[in-house]
Amino acid sequence: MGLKKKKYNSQINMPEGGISLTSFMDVMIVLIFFLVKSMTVSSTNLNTPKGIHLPKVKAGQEAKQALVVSISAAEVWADYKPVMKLDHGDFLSKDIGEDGRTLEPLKAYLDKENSKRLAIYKGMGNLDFLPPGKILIQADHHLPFKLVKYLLHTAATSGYSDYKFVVVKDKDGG
Amino acid sequence: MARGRLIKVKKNKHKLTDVEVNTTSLMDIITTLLFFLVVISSVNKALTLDATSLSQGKPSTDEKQVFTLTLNFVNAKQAEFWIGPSDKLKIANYDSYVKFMNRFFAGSLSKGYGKKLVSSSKTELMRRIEKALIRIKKSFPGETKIVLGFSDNVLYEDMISIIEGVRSLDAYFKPFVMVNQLGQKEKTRVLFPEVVISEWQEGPSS
Repeated sequence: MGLKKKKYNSQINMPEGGISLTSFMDVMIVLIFFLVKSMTVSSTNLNTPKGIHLPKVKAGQEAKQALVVSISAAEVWADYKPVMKLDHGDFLSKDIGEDGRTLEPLKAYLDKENSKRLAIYKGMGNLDFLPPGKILIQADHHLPFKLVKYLLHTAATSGYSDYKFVVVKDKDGG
Repeated sequence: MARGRLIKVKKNKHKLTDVEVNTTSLMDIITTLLFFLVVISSVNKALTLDATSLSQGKPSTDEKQVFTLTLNFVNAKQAEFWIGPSDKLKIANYDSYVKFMNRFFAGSLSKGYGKKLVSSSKTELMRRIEKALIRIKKSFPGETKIVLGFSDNVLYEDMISIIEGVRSLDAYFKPFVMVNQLGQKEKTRVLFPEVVISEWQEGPSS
């Protein structure tokens, strides 16, 4: 009986433990600020259109903002807007230009975007020395080069020859 | 009059009610927000591999010799190596380079070297290629450009793993020692990071 009473007393005498909420809040707010900043500035959030499984790599650079062209076995998108359809994994002959290598609907979109880009730099000097436009390419991993080369050629002829192939980190491969 | 006003203001201040923030619910919100931010930032991080296209134009009329390294892929298990004429270029470790090239490649320094590589798997092919690239990089430490040609039936995922492989060494290999342009020894995994993409063409090695 006496023992029980002693234990009860020692529990009451324990010092109160607590977190200083003010400093805790400071830490949390700073943490959130840096998280938001790193998400918005250093990396681009890219949506992958339906039917595209990106290839995996062990290392790559962080994606930066640029024009996005995506291709699956069924469709081609430019900035996530559908521009062309494919038939049984091949381009329709009406979409291919006279040279047999250019995808005309895609070229029309890219030319329009490139003229906007050139208009920005127009007053700044000779446009011949302007570096080529950057283009993010999202292609399904199982597509043959036969299809991808049309897209690369079209982009290059429209002034976008700095290719950035969008990939995902291979978590198994380290 | 002014004094009386001051006194009035002071009295009003005392009447203000204390406002408190409910820290418990605030903490709940912040913790939830933090959780979602961490999840989103870890899931949606997109990576890229860089390459450029082979510029179309008139062939250079400049007679000065330039370093040319081309790899043409017939498929993921078969490739063709081509190193352009390099007899007028500065070559580090000249003797060992020439010995290596004459042993494993067909051709000469003045005409260029070529070789067909056929392997049982794409991993093995890339390892053989990277081994040769290490030797070439050691003799041309200032060169960064490689031209990759692909035939129509090379899969996009194979194209990406080839680009990755020629840019830097696979984890299978240890970093190699190279004497850089400043004459300093450095350990590196970097091979030829500037990738130029072209279509597969019947090369001089064929």
